Amino acid sequence: MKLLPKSGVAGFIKELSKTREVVAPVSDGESYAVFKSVAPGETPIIDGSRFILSPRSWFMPGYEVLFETKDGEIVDKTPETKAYATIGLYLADAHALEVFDRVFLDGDKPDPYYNARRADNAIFALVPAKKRWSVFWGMTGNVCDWKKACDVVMYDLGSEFVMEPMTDRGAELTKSLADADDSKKAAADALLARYDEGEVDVKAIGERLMWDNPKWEEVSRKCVACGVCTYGCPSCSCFDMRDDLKCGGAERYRCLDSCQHADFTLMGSGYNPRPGRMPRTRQRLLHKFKYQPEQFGMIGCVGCGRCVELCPVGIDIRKIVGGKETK
Amino acid sequence: MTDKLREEAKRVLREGIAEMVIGWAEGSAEFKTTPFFAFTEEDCDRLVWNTACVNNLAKYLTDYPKEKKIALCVKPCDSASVNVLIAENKVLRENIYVIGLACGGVIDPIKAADAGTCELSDATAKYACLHCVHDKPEVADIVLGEAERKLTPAGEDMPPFEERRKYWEKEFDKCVRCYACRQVCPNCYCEQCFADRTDPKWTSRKPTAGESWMFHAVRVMHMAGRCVGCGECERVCPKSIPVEKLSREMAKYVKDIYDYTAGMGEKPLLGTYKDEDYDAGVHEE
Amino acid sequence: MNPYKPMLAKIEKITVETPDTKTFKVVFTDPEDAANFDYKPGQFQQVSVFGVGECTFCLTSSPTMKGYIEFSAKKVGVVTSALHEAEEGDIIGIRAPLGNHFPTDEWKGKNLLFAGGGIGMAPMRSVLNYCLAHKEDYGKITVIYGSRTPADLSYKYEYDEWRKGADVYLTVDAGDDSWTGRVGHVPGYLKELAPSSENTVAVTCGPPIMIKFVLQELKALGFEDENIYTTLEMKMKCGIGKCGRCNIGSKFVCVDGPVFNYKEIADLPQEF
Repeated sequence: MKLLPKSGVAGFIKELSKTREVVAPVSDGESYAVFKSVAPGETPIIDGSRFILSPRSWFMPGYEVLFETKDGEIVDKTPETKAYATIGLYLADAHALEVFDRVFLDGDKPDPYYNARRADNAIFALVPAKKRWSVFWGMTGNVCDWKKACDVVMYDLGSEFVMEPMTDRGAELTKSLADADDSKKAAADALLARYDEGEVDVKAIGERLMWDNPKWEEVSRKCVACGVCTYGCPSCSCFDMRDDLKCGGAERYRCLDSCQHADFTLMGSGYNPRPGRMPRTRQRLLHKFKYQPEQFGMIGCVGCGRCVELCPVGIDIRKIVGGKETK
Repeated sequence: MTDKLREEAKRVLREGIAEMVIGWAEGSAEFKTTPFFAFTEEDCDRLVWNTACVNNLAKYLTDYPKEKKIALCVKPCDSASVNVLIAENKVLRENIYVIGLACGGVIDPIKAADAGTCELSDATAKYACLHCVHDKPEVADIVLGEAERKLTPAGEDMPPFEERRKYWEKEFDKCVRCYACRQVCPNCYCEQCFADRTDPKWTSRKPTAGESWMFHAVRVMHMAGRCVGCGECERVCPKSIPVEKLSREMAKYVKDIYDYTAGMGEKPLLGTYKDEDYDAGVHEE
Repeated sequence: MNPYKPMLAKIEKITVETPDTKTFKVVFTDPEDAANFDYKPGQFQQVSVFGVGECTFCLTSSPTMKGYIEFSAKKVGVVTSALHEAEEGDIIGIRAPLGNHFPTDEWKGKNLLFAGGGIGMAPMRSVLNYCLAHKEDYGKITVIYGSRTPADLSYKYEYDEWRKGADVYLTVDAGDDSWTGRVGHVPGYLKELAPSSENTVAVTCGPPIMIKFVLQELKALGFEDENIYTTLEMKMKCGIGKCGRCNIGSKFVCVDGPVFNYKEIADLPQEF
């Protein structure tokens, strides 16, 4: 394990940016912190002082042109694969990338656009010093396992970060840093332990979330279908593909979409298999806690708590899913 | 205050004044409350009133048929929303029992979480509360409590005219077109929003500054004389775009030109005509 | 390979099937695409009208028809309207083949019963023509097809060909002056004809209300759930199991479907 004093973060990022494009949460002063390529001289917000939006906005941009047509030909707009380093996403967000990998990269038709940003991306994941009130990482998985999703785990000990390299790439990128002594290592472990809530019984959760439970009606009554839970989520991956005309041809782009929107499943004929707020609320919960575990053995929710904080009507996913289920 | 509110809510149900009371209940954290629907007197014991009661509950009125008897807890700004709905004939005054609550401002839960306190201050207040124009509930069958306004009013926050284009281009570039601002608005109740129409396609879903500009500009136009400034749109925005600034600017024009404040009139602004109304562009001089 | 990038194809022929449905015969403009293209009956495709959007259609042609593919489009939305305005020679985009297919190999040696309504004949036409082309592999083939009016019956030009290998029964909800055939609904006709369920596989596609009653009749005739097949319809965008729209339970209609038997459907949440 290595040590990075907070005063050295700027220098570390400067060094890193010589070989990799650095992506980190930054803010323009007024708004929430957003993941962006860090401009020279810009200081990322990795001290937990501000609400950080999920890194999904970088891995899966809100607007991405898939291809254009020009002179009767299709021009592929797949971005070049570059070397990136993503710093300051939460450990839960790093785990959310594992969920993304299942969706976008598994199977015989991997997504080249996502892959271009993911293939050579060193992940520096953060375990914040202060556990926000909304965080429930430990309810959705084994947080110690999530370390495998990172190149380096950064434990925030207040005035410094303990840096734990998890891969050769991570070790290489942190080799210039000083070593951490045993007391720091112990402090880092103790910090992570605060997020760990024991083993999670995925099956029991799935069984509790019954499809035909009358409770769904009550849960969805106050929902205003704004979809902010899905836009704020680091593991929500649903998107829309649309066309627009442009000078000399057309473009097909993809943009974010949400299962909470009325037109998400609305068919051309006017028929909608999920016609109201209740089936849509249910779909979000079941997709994460039941369908995705059935599909690839992983709960789709990572417990980052963003939906809990962002929801304008205070719907708390933890209360719907129910208490922690330990084996 | 919470006790008085509960008592009143119980009375309303007991005497059959309404079938349900829409209010706030405790949320998952001290700075978070959640909309709550009370159907029985026991339910009423879960109602609360405090500075975390940020939701504008008028939003839920249009979810139910006009005939349903509903009691609604409102802050002054929410009460103005109810008045807009009444003026536009979306709800019937006689079927809505309005429990008004005197309010000196509420907190923004995310700001409060960042600050680590739910004490109401200029730093934790919902931004719209710093611009609040509503002293008391305009429409109310009863008003509970008294409030003192301690927040420092925010001044003019729209950038100077020459800088606006640049300012809004940057802000709209953030927009992901989730339409949460529209969804949460109590007075955005169109069955099909122009932005969702595919034929004719008024605006593309493409979340670029230009297209998003179109969406927000049309929304503000549609809200002219109707936006009461409750600031829910701004609070819900997952990208923290200050969309309320536009509506506030529009409200200023509406006030200057027509001497009308949204939620304060018996008739909707765009549904009335006076001889002295400003008509530049309608009649050429 | 970029799974979002369509192949370019030229509309070679447009056939007007019914007042609101047209069948498009298309060929790939790139000979390499054409040579590499292969599919199985029941698979679907995403058709692009560039600048307007993409829409999902089943491949209604059969793999036994070489050198071209066909799909039928009912005019309902923006993309289908654009397609209905297209002319022969226009270039469109195609992403195909997508999804699973009818298990025609498992069906070998069995009798086949097709019960379709309206545009629901589109996915069944593919598998019907495929099985007719491999007639020796299958037993008796029966087709019951109905629509609202005689004008709404699709693929009229193929009925004579079908009759060479199958028993074809037509019915309409309401006849007109020239209609001399049966008048009535498909489920009623099915009950009347009462085909044996022994060693028989049933395929049914059509409007949900027709499917509901056809299922009742099939059950009454002794068909087991796993021997009744249909294609599910959900809104789709990516067609490759990523965009999340056609998700029903842990299945994605675009990857695990569109072909399901009723045993599989019974295990799904009933929201489709």
